[in-house]
Amino acid sequence: MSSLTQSTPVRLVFWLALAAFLIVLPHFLGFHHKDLILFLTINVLVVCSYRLVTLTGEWSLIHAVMVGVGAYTATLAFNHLGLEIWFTLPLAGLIAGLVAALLCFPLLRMTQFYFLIGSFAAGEAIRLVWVEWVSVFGGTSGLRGVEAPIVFGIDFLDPIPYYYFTLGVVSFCLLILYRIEKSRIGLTLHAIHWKTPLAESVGVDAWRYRALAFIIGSFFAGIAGALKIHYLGSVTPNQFTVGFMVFVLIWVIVGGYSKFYGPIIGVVLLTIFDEAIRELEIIRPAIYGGVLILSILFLPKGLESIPGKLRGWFGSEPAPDTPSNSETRGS
Amino acid sequence: MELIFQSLLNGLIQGGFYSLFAVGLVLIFGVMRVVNFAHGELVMAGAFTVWVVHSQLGLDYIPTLAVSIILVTAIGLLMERFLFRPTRSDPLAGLICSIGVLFILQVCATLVGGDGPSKQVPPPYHGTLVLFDVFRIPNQRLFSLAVSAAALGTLWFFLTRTKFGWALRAVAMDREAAALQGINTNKISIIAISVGAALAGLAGGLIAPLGNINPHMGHNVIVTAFIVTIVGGVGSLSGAVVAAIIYAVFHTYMTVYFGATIATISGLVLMVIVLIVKPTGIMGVRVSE
Amino acid sequence: MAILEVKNLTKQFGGLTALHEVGFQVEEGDIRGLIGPNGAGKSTMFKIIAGFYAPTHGNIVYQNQNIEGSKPHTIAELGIVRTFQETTLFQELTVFENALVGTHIKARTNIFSAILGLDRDKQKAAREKVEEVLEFMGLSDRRDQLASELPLGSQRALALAIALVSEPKLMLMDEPFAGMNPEETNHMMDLTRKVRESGVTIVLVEHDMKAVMGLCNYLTVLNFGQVLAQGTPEEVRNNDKVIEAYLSGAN
Repeated sequence: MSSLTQSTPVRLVFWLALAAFLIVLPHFLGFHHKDLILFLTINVLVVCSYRLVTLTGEWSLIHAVMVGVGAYTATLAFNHLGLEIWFTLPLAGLIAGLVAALLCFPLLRMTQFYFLIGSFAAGEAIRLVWVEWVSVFGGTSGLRGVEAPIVFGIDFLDPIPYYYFTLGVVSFCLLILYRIEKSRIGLTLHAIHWKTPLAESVGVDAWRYRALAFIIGSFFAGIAGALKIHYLGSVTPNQFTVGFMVFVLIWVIVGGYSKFYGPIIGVVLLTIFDEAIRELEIIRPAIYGGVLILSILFLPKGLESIPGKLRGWFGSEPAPDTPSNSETRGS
Repeated sequence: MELIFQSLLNGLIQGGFYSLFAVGLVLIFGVMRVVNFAHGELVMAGAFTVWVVHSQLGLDYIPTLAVSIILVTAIGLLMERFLFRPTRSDPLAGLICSIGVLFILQVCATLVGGDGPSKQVPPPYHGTLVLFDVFRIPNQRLFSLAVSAAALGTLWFFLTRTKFGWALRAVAMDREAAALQGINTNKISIIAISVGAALAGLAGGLIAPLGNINPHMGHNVIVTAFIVTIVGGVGSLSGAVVAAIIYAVFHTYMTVYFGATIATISGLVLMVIVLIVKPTGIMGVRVSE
Repeated sequence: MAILEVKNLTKQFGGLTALHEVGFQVEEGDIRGLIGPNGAGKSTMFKIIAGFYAPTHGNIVYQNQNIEGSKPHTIAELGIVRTFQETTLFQELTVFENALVGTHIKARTNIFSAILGLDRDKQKAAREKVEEVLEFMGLSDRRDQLASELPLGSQRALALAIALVSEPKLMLMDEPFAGMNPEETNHMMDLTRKVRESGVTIVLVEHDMKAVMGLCNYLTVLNFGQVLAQGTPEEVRNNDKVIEAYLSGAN
């Protein structure tokens, strides 16, 4: 994040301004848009957790389903165990993480193409279980009944309180994800991405680290799923199809993924873009298809690379944004 | 008892379709090293073409099949030229581009056919072949089986007996070595995508009279094609055909006894198992990453 | 005292026998050369010692432990590190970060410590070690450059640095002199001697005879996967079988 701002006071002002903006924002929006920024906030978590999974250079197609695992867990926990959101959130994350841990054993033997297809298959299989096992998961109609709590007289079912709640949870999760990326672990994940054999030759157990990234990424995906479901009130298998997974991919690719904030740019801008083209209902997917293709062909490093390019055109050296940028400068 | 044999027959016929799906995908992956995620939509495009040109515009079925093949091949050529060729160094980029095409094709189909219920194309061949007084094969399906077999046979001949076929196999085995030997890899890619897309278009045209046509029918196709490709071996065309037939029979039986969803789940689980135990599949050779 | 012993090592790839009953011992403090014509099996031997392949038969004994078939990261934990043929670096990381990865064994941390920052001391110690080694290798001024932007000599030095930083007892160097001009070769030879003096035993696979003869105190010559001769550089240089092997190998 250090390439964004120059020095600590500037940074502080930036964060304060951003926080103020995010807090004040919903009061200026109509109902539909309040919903929108709420889901946008949740999708930021989805996209940042996906980035952790892909840090080692392997792209999975199961992430959307992990969000679903969290959603179904929260719903089942609420309906059958009477747990409130304070408990269903972490539980959703834990179950998603557990499913990911189990899937590590079959899936992480594969790399590249095989991992992509294998993760796609595993995700699709899980989704079809939700469709087929009607007595537990409700089949294609899914499950209902989940609610947001009423605390201190505030009904969290209203969009604005729920938005603040979500903002808080997502910010906390992002903080953790950021800490991981900048830590030793983040460095190791990057190293595995660039040259796995070299990393192994100095003692890195690549499998373990890939598993770690996969499990933790899935954990946060599960939390995102629970957040979503407590607001929506119902969960169906169709919310987590390949279509959603492709959206996640588009956000990450268009936004860029070599910097932590790349995917965030992607999801924010594309969500706004989506709103703008809302009237074009039927052809919307085609526009996404076009955006995706243009992005890959002409801006392969994503939107996050634009500041660097601009700096390059205007003559100054862009700061190399490498994993532990701020912390490697001696101490 | 009859059910078992009838299901076997149905499975074998279905295997013909699955073969067409998978062989096209494997050809494109083998030669161009890119996963064509839009392959199901190519099949869908073939089916829609039959609906528009044969059902709506009245052209005879067989010429319509030719139109389907030509149209889908054209789509494939556009994809190769503008998407796969520029992204050759990064297969993931090619895959993502194909996802973009997936969306575009689905929307095109929705625009052409509207948002309503699935379309039906009345089968041009009527009647049913009855074997031993018990087993029934609709003539339409017989026709499609015959055409599938003919197409695959022609492909086999092309790959093993012609100059281009040999070149294709050489590029699939080792692209750089083939280039060093003077093979024009661009041309070979064009041939590969043409054949792959043509097979998809043909499959779509053959399926059209047999089921529901809608913009999302490609999803099942791609899932099936992936399962078959992996189980048969990613680099192997003969493996794909063998796996297609076996999987089609397996899927048919599972559907009869447990329903289509469980059948697909089993297929996916089977695929993951194969990926774990023998990633090269039944007959494949390891594709160098 | 033999730090590494290779016993009856055989490696077959399908029908091809890459190595056949290879045996040799490396003494602590050696700079041991593993040489031979192209295709003799030297790199394969390295990959087996470093854990990238398992042998078909035979043992590798390191400090009285059988290590054949162990995984690369396990072998690294025991103190054996390998450098790679051609440029193998973390290209999009800086020089400093490249070397920092090498401190993995000492500086690795669990997820909770990482998030909460409880491993601050460990990380500080690791960074200090990296500064030290970069200094030793003469790379300090380049610490913030991306690895992909380095000139060849610096790239090789960085590869050495990454290995050194893990404090190995045994270093396997795979053709470190490939593609170097005489000046770079001399510099690299000095670096290699410095590394040995810091207490690391070195086994070297190399084609550059000047480097081999100048650095190694003992040589093992392989040909067609078998040991052809062993001895001091003098002895090997004058060995008829060796001369013939090199000449007929059209090296």
